[in-house]
Formats: sequence, structure tokens, C-alpha cells
Amino acid sequence: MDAPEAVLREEHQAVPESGRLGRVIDRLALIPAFGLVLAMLILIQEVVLRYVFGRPTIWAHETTVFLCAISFVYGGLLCTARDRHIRVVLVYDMLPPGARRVADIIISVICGLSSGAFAWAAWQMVKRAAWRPDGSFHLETSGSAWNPAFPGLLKILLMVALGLMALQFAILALNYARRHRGTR
Amino acid sequence: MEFFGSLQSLGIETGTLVLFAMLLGLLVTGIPLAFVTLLVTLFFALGWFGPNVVPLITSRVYSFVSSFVFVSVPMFVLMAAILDRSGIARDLFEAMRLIGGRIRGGVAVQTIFVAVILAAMSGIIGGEVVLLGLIALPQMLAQGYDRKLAIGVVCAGGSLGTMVPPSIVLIIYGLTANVSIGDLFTAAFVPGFMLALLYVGYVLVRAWLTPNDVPPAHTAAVPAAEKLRLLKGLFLPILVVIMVLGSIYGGIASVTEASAVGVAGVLLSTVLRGEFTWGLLRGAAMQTLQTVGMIVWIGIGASALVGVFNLMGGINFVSELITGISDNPTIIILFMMAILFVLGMFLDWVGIALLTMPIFVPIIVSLGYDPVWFGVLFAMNMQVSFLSPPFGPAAFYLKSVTPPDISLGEIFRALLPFIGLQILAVALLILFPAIAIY
Repeated sequence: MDAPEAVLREEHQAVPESGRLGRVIDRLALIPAFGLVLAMLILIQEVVLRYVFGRPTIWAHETTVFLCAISFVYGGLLCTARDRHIRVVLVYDMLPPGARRVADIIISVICGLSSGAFAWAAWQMVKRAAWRPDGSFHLETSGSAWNPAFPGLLKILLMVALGLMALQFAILALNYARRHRGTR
Repeated sequence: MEFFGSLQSLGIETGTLVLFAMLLGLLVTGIPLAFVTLLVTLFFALGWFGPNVVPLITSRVYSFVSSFVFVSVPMFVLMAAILDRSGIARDLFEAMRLIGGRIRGGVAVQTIFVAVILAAMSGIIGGEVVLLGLIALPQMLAQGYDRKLAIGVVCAGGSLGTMVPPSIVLIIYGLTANVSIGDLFTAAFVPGFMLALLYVGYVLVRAWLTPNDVPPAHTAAVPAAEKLRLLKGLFLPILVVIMVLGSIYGGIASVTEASAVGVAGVLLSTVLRGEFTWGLLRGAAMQTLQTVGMIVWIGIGASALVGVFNLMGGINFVSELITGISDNPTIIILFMMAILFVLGMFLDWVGIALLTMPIFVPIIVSLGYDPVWFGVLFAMNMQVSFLSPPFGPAAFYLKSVTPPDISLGEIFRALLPFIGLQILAVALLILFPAIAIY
């Protein structure tokens, strides 16, 4: 049963071409990953507080949504570093190895442009979420009874993640290109 | 020439065509789905309208990642990831021997029942196919089952995770269609079982018609002490199922909270079984992060694209196109099913749900159908997409754990009768909607 066990516990890692940034992304992923576990614990304590003690909290739901949203955003970054984003490889798989490397470069460049442009788009959103119309700094709050600044924070995080993603794609494209030249 | 707004002169017909052509063209080159949709979105947002609409799109993305119901997605994924790493499924399979052992084709039937219980614990596909491929397939092959039958049972059974509640497909559908997820889960219960029973029926028919392909049962008597030990393997999983589904159907907790209860249940099971380690939790949490990253970013891209397409008036246009093909609502439904079948061959179900449902669901409602019923129909349809070549994910998951002499081609051929059964189930749901909404 050795081989199947190994398959079951297969853990993905950042692809070598993702460089130092990819390794850092991979390592720091542990924080949002355990954020999910924490979110689970918060939900459980909320159920217990509500049913056993009849005292629901005002912060549990917003906090779990925030923790999960962080992991969603970070998860995309992690998939970029690990090259695990879902793609249709119908044509890609038919390419010979040389052409595939060229495809890798082009794909990374296009994804970089796409995420870079969206980082700019997110900046348009952050401008409204982090500053008052008069120019003073104020993070957008949720408007609930607890009123945390999660929406503002999350919008900034989304922008940062998209920016990092663009950077990661640039590094990937560069390293694919370097390897391509090396193998010729 | 100014690019901003210049595309509008194309008109919605050409615009829609260009959009789909661009989407497909970029997709087949191997660019990740999430970034293809983001790119097309931005191209059309700027080209059709100009920079003013950009904040509208990003706020769609924001509201997509920050919805409370969506929290249940990482929870169910985490639950499955912990399940994969524990021996719970293996013991469950052993225990189910007591039920399936007596009849011809017993192991195959037992595999399907194990698949249903696993499906009732988690809501994703992948881990289950792998688990059954490791546990059930070798046993069936060793007993002399026809290879294709054994492969089909494992893949089709393993895919049930997204049909039997709790199911992530239904959660995502509920989010896009604005339908109660509790209602969807209630409605999907019987259809999910019906599909499983169709599989069981197929195995029994094969045992009767082609006895060479299905070996007789091994009738070794199991001592009572052994029976008791095996039953323990059944206890924890059933308890978790009761905890999750019970708290949803019983109205004790929301779907999201029930998903967290499920994680706690599975985690507690690993502790009780003495399997819990930090490494296990860490691995499961990391895998969850990666999986939800994949799912959510497809969702981000798709919801952004749908936002722009809607602003362009494209959704209205496509709706009119679809409703215009016939006055007969059944034909419109069949047409939608055909679209879903074709998309299912190439695209991931998350992308399909988020791209097509904003168009389909309003049509369904305006035709007077129940969107809950349509959600179940959609989930059933996606069952086909998991098995259908060339990209049936179930086949790829199984391939990753089978011996090399089982080729991908053989797996896909083995799946054909099961795809037939799934299409039969889709047809039954269309003919008798009462199966889902009773």
C-alpha cells in the first residue's frame, strides 16, 4: 500500500520557475490556511453560544466571512505560484516540448497583463473604500452593529493580491524565457 | 481612434459573437480560465463603456468573495481533505461488506453505497474517486469483476459527492440563482439516491445478464465479534452525516454552520481514531486553500464577465435568442441541457454555473418552472460532465491512482454506460419534476 499512500498525501508546491516570491507565497500560505480552521472554530462556538447559552455574538459571522475571503484571495495567489489554476489543456498537451515552453511564456505574460490590469481596476475601488471624499484616510466599514473595517481591508487585500499575482506571472514568464534559452 | 466605447458600434449581436469567440479562442490556448474571463471582461468593459464601469465590476468581485453562504465552500472542501487523509473511508468500506457481501455483484453495490455515505459527508468530487480507486477498485479487480464495470462504478460513484447533499455544485447554483440552499439540498436528496440506485440496478442487471463479468459473492461467514468491530467503522461516518444533514434539515444551523459542524465532526473522528496529527491538519488546510483558490478565482472571473455582459445587454439578448427557438418550454429546457452537456465536456462546472445560470435561471422562472428543480437538474447534468470525455475530471482523478495498464481511453470507454444512466436520470427529472419537488 506504499504507492497509493504516497499519492494520497501528495502535496503540491510552488513550481521552481516561480522563484523566491513563489516560495514565500507557498510558505506564508499556512496563515490563511489556518485562518480557515479558525473560521470553522468560530462558527462552532457561535452555534454553541446560540443554542446552549442563547447568546449569539455580533462578530462571529463577519469575522468568518472575512477570514474566508482572505483565504479565497490568497488561494488564487497560491494557485498562481503553484501553477494550479484550472485551464483547458486540449491544444497545450498536443504541443511538442519546445512549443510548450513558448506557450508557457505567452500564457504567463497574458495572465500577468490580465491580473495587472485588474489590480489597477481594484485600485479604482480602493480609492473609494479607503479615503473620504475630502481626502482624509478612512477605511470603509460594514455598517453592521459591530461595524468592523473589514470591507475596506478586504478591498485593499484584493488589490495587493492582484498586484502580487501580476508580479508572480512576470517572474514566471521571465524564468520560463530564461529556461527556454538555456535548453536551446 | 479612441478605444473606449468604440466597441459599442458593433451592436449586441456582433458584440456577443466577438465575446464568445474571444473567450473560446483564448481558452483553448491553455490560459487559465480565471484570467481568460478577467481579460475578456476588461477588454469589453473598456471597449464597450470606458473606465467608468470598472468600479462596478470590481465591486461585483468584492461581493462575490465576501458572501456568508460561500463560507460553506471551504468548509466542505476542508472536510473532504481531512476525510481523504484519514482511514475513515477504508473502515467504512470494510463495514459495508456486511451489507453487500451476500449477493452477486455485492462488492460493486457496496462500493456505490459507500460512495453515497461519503457523498453525504462531503460535497466535492476528486477525493472520493481517488479513495474508491484505492480501496474498492483493487478489491473488485482481485475478485474477478469486469474491469470496465469496476472502473465505471468507482468513477460514477465517486462523482455522487456533488449530487447528494451537501454539494458544492448546489451551493454555487444557489448563490448565482438566489435560491435557498436548504431547499436545494432537500430537493436533491431523492434524485441523488435515484441516481445511485440506477447504478446499483445496472450492476445487478449486469450480474444477471453477463454473469461472467460479475463474480459470485464470497460466502465466508463473519464471526459476531468481527461484525461488531466492523460496525464501529460505520458508526463515526453515519454520526457525521447525521450531524451535517440533521442540522440543515432540522433547521438547527444554517448550511454554513452545518458545514463547520461537519469539519468538526470529521476532525473529532480522526482524534477518536488516533489518527490526528498536526501534519494531517496542516496538509488538509493547505490543500483546501489551494482548491478554494481554484474555485473562487474562476468564480471571480466569471462573475466579472457576467457583470459586463449584462451591462452590455447581452444577457437579455441571449435570453431572447433562447426563448425564441420554440414556444414549447420543454424544447427550451432540452436546448439548455444540450448547451450544458456540450460546455460540460470542456469547461469546469464552476465556470459553467456562473456563466450560464445568470442567463438560464430568469428564463426558467419566466417559463413558470421552479428554480429549485432546475438547480437539481443542473447538478444532475454536471454529473455527466464529470464523466464525459475529453475532460471528465473523474477519469483523470482515477487515472492518477490506478496501475499504468489501465489507460485513460479504457476509463472513458468504461464510463459510457454510466453516462447513459446519468442522461436517463436527467430525462426522468425533466419528465417527472416531482422527483425533486414534492
